[in-house]
Amino acid sequence: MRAAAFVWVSLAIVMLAGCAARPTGEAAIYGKAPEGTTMQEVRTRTGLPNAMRFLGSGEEVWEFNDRRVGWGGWRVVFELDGKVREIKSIRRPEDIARLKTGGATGQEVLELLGEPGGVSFTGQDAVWEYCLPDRSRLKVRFGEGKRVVAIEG
Amino acid sequence: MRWWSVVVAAALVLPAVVSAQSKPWGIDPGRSTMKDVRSKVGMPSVIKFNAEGDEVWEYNNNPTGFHAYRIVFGPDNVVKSARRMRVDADRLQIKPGMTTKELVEIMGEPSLIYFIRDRLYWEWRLHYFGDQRHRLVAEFDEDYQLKSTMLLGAHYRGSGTTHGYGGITP
Repeated sequence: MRAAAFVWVSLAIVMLAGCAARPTGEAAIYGKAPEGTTMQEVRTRTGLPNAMRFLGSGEEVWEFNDRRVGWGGWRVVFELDGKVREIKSIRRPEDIARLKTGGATGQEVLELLGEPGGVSFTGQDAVWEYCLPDRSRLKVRFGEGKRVVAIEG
Repeated sequence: MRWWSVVVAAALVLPAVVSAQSKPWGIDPGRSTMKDVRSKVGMPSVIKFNAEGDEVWEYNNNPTGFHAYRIVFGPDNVVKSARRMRVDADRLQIKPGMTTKELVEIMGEPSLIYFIRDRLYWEWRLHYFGDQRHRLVAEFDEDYQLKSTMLLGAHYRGSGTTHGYGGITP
């Protein structure tokens, strides 16, 4: 009886330790924490990015957005030495909330939400369409001066 | 065949070829709008903004296509320029020591990214010397700066490009 209890307690401790060591959230998709992950590892684990951008500092950004069929997206920022600096999801509620203040440029929308899944037009004004992680849809309409004038959805 | 028949044939065909290159899909810089481009060509592969703040749509046909096009729009959503990318003039701008950012500005996004012995390689598919299908392979050093480039014919054994998909073309 005591031996069985010892085995169960030991098992529980081992499992809890495993949970603590396991990366969670955004890091979990790469199986490890972003710090120290290299570009080579990201390429091996995740494949080719859907889009590639560069920050003002010259840091390379890979975007995995599944934009036409997927509902979310990930962005990996590499330092100049090819090490991962940040992995984060895009199209989060806080990103959309920032857009709702209005007046954002296309560049700012790209930085917050990534590439749109579709582009349509109202007159000559572009409308960028996104699928969001909560399975809803979002339309970002540009107007005068190519700035955001309305967000629907 | 008489020499003048060759001249006449060239005179008939050449303007169409030049027009297809300078005005892909009939897109007319200064007249065509973003809406025209969307309806004629479809969704771009990449949307970005250049240093001047102009919106740029790229149709790169990656990873298997050999054609790529870049269309730049002005602030009024009218096309400023529309041209084919990854042509000889672009390739000749590439110099050792360039960064990945500079290469993307010239050639667009690479068709392939891979590592061999911890060294980064990029590839683009392009036409060289007219319509000869080739792969341009760029090797980077440990600081992610361009070390060298190599042009491989699509017929090169193991290149896997002989059946390449042409992608979206005018």
